[in-house]
Amino acid sequence: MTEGCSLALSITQTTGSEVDLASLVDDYSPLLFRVAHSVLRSRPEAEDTVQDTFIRVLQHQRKAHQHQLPAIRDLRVWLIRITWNLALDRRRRIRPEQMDDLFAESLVSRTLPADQALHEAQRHKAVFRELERLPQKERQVLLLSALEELATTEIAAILGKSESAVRALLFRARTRLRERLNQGGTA
Amino acid sequence: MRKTSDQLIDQTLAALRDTTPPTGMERRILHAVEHHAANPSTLHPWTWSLTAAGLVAVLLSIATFTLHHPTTNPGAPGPASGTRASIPTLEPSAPSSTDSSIVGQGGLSRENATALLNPASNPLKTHNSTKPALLQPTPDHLLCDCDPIALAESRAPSQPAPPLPLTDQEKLLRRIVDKGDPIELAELNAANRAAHTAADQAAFQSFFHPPLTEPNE
Repeated sequence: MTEGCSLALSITQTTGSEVDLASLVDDYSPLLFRVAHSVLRSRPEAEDTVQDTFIRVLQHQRKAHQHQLPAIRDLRVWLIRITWNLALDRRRRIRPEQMDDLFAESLVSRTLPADQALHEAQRHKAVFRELERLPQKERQVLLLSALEELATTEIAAILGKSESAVRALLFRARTRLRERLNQGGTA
Repeated sequence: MRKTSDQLIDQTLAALRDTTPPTGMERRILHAVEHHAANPSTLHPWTWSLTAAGLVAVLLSIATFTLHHPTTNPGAPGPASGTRASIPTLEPSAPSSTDSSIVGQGGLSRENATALLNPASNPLKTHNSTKPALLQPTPDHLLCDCDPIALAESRAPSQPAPPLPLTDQEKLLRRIVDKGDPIELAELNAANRAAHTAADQAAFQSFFHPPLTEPNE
């Protein structure tokens, strides 16, 4: 897929090894796309966010050569954190709830009858609506935890919190979301 | 079969987790990054917006300056060049003798009252009577020749403030003075007025007998 592209730029890690930017795109694009999509719930916006992430990486690499910046300790968490912050910035310009109709309909099985499919889509929309009503920190922890590739330590590093705080926020988020869905009669 | 809330939450979060990136995303991203690497000076769209906003602000400031400061012909002989001798310098007027004539006399003559009410000769009504002494012309070497308009404005003769309108009491005084009745003029003197009032009261009391005090029992 990316054989035709060759970038001589590289990122230096603390281990001393240099990683080619093209291989970074290959390795981390799907994960970064899911991170951005969990915040934005829009595929084009998520792809633009991933692209902006690698442009940031490029700019950082240039600065690192000029100013002798310290090497990156955890490349994976660093990339996710960039994507996460860029997605939050982009989220201020768009309204994710506007994308929920389309996304909720895509979650429903096509084999269902039309009335049941409509009902299912409305229930998924209710989950997204209640997700947006959660406190910001709880919502962020819940979204990051949904990506099963991320461990609690990584979520804590991305959000700048302790592991115990992440666990507490995750528990409160699940509880609050469940209560609100039960009150709304969605389940 | 209705799902529980937990199942619904898990299903929704799993949908977010299982989202697959669009086909060819890596290739498009690599092309974009290569393009950015080849043109590092590419400006963001908001940079152009900021530049345009700055240009508009500069143009507006120039237009505002032009409207509020109309241009003059710098070659024409204006008040800034060579006309300083013709500008009348206001000298502080000598202290008027009416000050001493008004204060310290028991009564008010017609001339004194006229002097008191005339704004031109009244030191209390001319607020800028001492200002011209402060407006001595600035030497040429201290003035900048770069702005003839500012120079002309600084050298223009100052206009004294218009006199304040008369109060009700001052209008009454002016009517009395214009009328010229000596009795009314004499009543303006407080001592005369007090003596007149005392005489009236004495005349009024003279109609009554002194109060008879009964002997104490």
